[in-house]
Amino acid sequence: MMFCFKRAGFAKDMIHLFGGIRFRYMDIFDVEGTRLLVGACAGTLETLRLYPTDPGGE
Amino acid sequence: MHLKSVPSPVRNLTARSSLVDFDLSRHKLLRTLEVRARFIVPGHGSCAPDPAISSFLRTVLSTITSLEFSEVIVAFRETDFCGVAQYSRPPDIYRDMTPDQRAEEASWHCDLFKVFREVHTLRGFRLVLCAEVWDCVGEYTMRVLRWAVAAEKAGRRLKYFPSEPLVIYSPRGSPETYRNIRR
Repeated sequence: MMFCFKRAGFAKDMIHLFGGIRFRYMDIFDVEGTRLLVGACAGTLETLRLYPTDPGGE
Repeated sequence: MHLKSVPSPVRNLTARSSLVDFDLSRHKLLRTLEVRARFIVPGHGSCAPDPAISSFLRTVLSTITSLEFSEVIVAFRETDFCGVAQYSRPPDIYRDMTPDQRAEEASWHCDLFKVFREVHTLRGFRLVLCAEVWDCVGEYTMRVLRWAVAAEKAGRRLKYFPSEPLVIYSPRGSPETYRNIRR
């Protein structure tokens, strides 16, 4: 789960560090590097949630 | 629909990205897309309607090529219900609705279903309406969503779907939880 994430380059670094990412579920909202993250999970992603999970409220 | 035809960035939804980022044409295992109702059609009391947000679901669905894809879950929060007072708690969590507010809410549901019918022609899916709300208003919000489905059924506008939309409830804490987190 990622939302309102502004650090440019983090997604790229994470993918590079782990040699790729293989999430099956992504909860992503207002994130720098969205295209990279979504694209990196093309082979595994089953569920894409496009709004923030907030257990407490809006 | 071509992704580049959609203005970006889409306000509120993807402030740091654009709809081009949601090209799901290579996601062959994708089964479910979860979106918020307000991203499909801005709800009552919201800011001015944004055509880019309204076209969001159409645009993203048009990119999906996965044969596994079967479900769109549309989430509703407390703020999507006119009869729920924000920042209150039981027994004051409900507020009286004027006839105009009732009509506005019903009209919003109608608009949502209109989009669902349109996008269903792009891509078949099972529609799931999920009340993702505080536990104290779960029953009420489920009832409102069931009314919305019943209204569509009464108007014979559900015939486009292979099965009747499913209404589910996913509790997400309570107003107290919200206050504790905000402190």
